[in-house]
Amino acid sequence: MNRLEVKDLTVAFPTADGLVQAVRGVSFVLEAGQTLGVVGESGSGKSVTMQTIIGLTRGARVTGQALFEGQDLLAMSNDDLRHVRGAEISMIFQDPLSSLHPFYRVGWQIVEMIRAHQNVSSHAARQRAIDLLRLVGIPQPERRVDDFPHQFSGGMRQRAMIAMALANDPKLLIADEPTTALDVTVQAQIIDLMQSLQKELGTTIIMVTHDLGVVADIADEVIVMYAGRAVEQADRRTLFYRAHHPYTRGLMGSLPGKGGAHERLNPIAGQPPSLIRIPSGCPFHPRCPFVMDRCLTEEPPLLDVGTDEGHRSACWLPADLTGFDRQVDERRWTAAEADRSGRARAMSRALLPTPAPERAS
Amino acid sequence: MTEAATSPASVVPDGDLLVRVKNVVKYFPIRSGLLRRVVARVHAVDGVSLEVRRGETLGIVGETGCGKSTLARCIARLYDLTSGTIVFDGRDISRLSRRRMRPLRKGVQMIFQDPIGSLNPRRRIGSIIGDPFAIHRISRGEQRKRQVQELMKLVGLNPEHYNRFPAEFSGGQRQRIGVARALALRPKLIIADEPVSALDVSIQAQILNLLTDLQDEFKLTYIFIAHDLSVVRHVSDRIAVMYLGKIVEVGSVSEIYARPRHPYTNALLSAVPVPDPDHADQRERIILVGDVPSPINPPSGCRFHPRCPKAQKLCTEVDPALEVKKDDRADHLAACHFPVEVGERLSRERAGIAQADRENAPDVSRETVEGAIRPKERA
Repeated sequence: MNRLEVKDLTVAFPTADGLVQAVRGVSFVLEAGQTLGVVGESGSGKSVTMQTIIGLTRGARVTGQALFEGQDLLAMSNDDLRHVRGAEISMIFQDPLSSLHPFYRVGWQIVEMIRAHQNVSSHAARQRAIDLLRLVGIPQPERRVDDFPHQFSGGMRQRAMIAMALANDPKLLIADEPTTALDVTVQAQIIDLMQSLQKELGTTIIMVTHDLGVVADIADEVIVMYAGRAVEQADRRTLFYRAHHPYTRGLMGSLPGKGGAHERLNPIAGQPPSLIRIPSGCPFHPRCPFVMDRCLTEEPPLLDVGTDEGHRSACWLPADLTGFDRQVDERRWTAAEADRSGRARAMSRALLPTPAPERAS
Repeated sequence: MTEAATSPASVVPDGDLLVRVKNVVKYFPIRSGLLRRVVARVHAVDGVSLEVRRGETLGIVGETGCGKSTLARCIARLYDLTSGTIVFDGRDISRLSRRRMRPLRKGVQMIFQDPIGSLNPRRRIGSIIGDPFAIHRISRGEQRKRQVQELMKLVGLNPEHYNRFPAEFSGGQRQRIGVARALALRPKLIIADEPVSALDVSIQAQILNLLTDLQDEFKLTYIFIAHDLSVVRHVSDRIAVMYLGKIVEVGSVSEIYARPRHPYTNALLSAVPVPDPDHADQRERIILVGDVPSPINPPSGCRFHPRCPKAQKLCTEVDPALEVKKDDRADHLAACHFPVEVGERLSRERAGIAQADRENAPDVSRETVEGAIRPKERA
């Protein structure tokens, strides 16, 4: 059985300004021991997807299914969900300071987590808390267990959060930007720790991040989200070397990489759309240099592309055009030119000197 | 390029230098008790010397709390120095009073990290960007408005949005407002403190391109502070690496990335996630143990020694000088007794020196940590 299967999840929030369509049909399957990377910019719906799965989006209109070992989490009562959450599924949030209660000692908070789900003595739970703190690399855990959160550094707090998330040996660990607030050396420690724990315990990990470098490091599968949808999905190598969707291509082009100083980057033009007024057709079309006529009106479904198994992309460009080199870009451009007139042509010209190859025309 | 050069100043003639920082120290007092007596001091910047050449971009990297922002604010004289000298454009500004500093402030401007916090939400952006003209009494009325709109065009904002409030702009646009404001007085030096850290990657690239274009157009000099090493690598000509208030290594971008000599630089570079799976799989990360020690009571000798895989007894006793190491170019300096050789592998080693200050380093090795995984089940 799959550990987690999400089917056609949609999440919308009614607000005074209109309906915020945060997630618009996301599906994925995750097996035991796998790591799924979910990338996207702010407002792409990646965090809301995860929060909805574990029932943390109150007041949202939710449809679809999230099957955890066959049980639909979205249909569960709050009481049942409480037994799953924290025990079988746990979550690490981005901000380690606001996720720990400032009034209670760190150890007490971990003990509470353990005793909420397991019938153990407080002494045993405390011992387990100390072991967990040692496991995540907190020095002198016997002493630090009685510290308050403010006595911990940022990296230590995040490690304490991981200790708490691991307290009940969860089968699924959802980490929402767990290292974004941390320095790179601490980030390396945390990622290293998560990987060794996964090897040891076979935990399934969902890593939500905007950092493509982190994804390249640890993910098996990657989902790229844009405007509430998965626009591309592939295994790690396929995504980084043979991506299909122009948005993925744009993200990779925005990264300051090996190019020397003062070399120009190729950013994506414009800004991510508002989730209240999502553009018609393909939501990426206002920023896409390869925009075609049908992109303005028809939203592309997530379909198989390329030659790699499980590689899917939501784009109307021909399915065999994957990769980043110039020839592929020129063929993308030619294909797009053949299929556009009037408005789409004008839009693509307006986006031009940015990334597309002028020489191809 | 001779080996004789040991002082940072000797490489470049004085005329090419825009800023020279010499032995700058900045301590912040910690006060406590009824009399607000100084009980301790935060050693934020502790004897930094460096130079900034005209027209270059100097990147400063380091972890949270290493003193990189404090150093930048000292150079801009937003802080008074505890000791040391700063020469800007041939003039010693380290002890100038507020009033005498004011006309010189035109030459140094800052861009801040937080594009929301650094703009007053109740003022229109036209008036925010026009502030420098008002403060320095350069222009008023219609003329000021025209200048502001020119600036807005320059940084890629629509000049018709002159009367809007900051909240009506996205993060990237707000950062453009910050850039326009910094550019208003045509400064010689712009200090950018984490200018793109709060932005999404696609927007980040737009701002980086803008900064590069402006530098070419106006012959600007940048001091660029960031914790993201791939960003710093992209924009900088030279890089200074800071650790606990000191510069541990400085050199050209290619030198620092190709031949990092200080173990900390090595660790920092190896920790950066690379968006390339093949590269990520091959690479061996140097995982540093523990956290950065407190700058209130920094470790003796070399400040990196409690976390350093190469540390020896000497490192605990003598603070290494920032100097040219054997076979290095004359402008590549490192502060280390045992610099890393080309081809040397640090990732297999662990910090070797036992910690005197137990607060600052874990007392467990990685192996004990891994051995502690699920002790109950193993039993």
